[in-house]
Amino acid sequence: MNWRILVATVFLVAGGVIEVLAVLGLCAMRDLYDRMHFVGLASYGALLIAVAIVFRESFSLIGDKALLVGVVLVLTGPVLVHTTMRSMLIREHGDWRAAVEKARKDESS
Amino acid sequence: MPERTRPALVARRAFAWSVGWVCAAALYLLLIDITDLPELIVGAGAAVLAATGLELAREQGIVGESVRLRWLFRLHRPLLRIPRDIVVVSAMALLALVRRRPAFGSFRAVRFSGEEEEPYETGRCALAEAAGSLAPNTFVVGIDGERRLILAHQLRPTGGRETIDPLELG
Amino acid sequence: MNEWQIAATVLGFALIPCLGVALVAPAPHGLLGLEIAGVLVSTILMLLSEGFHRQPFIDLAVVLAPMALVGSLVFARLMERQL
Repeated sequence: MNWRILVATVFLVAGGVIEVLAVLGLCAMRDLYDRMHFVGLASYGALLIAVAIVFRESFSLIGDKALLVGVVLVLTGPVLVHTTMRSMLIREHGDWRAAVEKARKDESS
Repeated sequence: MPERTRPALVARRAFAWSVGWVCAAALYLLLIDITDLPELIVGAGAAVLAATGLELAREQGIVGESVRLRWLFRLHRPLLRIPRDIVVVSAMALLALVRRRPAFGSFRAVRFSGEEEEPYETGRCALAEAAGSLAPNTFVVGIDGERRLILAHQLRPTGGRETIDPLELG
Repeated sequence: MNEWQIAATVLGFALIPCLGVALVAPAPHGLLGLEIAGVLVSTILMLLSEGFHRQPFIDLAVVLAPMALVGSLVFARLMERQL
């Protein structure tokens, strides 16, 4: 087996497992804010799969675009989670800063 | 900082626009992968629009010129934390299957002091939020300027201030 | 079936729980189902492109990745207002 195919397969399996675990986490967690972390995790799975495609295809048209999609997903994932988290805190408390008080109480207790 | 003269300002804008145009044209070529003349003309036109948009945004201080280079010296810290956090969050997904609990994670607020003049203050806060949220175990919610605190949610509460503010900007 | 197509099939089945969360759970939880589904579909399109060596699928992924982000951001902002 060519070493590039081997490396691509390793990345493909790792990326696939991470994506499946992200879905598993989404279903298994009960808390809204706990579930948000799996959006970030899923984007890293996508990046690993994109890297697998690059190893297989080299920097061909499909390889380049796959890498672009992977990088976009990884860079926008935290933005999406950050915005969603803020929106949900505003929805619950009227202001996201309300969670600051809660965090300080939790840390002191 | 001394006021820039008008020719210097124009030259600076032209340089920034040119850099934006080259980057946008390169991205267009990467996406299209055809070097026929009609495609090159369309690409050049699209790059003009993109570079103009970027320059207009830059003029408003939305992007660029607001991050000091020395803040990026510790950029390796959040990047190195990513593989470990992927393992941690994956393990938490499996743990949640075994142990049913209402919540595993918690919000944490840590000190975020210091102040810069604008537009660097906005850049400092934005960079701290971005770097803190890069690894999937920690997501920064925001920076409370009044109380000088940075608020984050961690799925597995761990580590000290450096896990939430890895670039130590606060 | 090659390994890319198998991976695309597995991730296709992983969309079902996301759909379940979006349908059954409260709206904010459903939004997270939608966000993960967006990442999954982009990945599936990449895998199909590689699996079938068809370039149009990867173009769809290139468009979907930012569009899914924009759609989710709009939903997140709308949900601030107790919709």
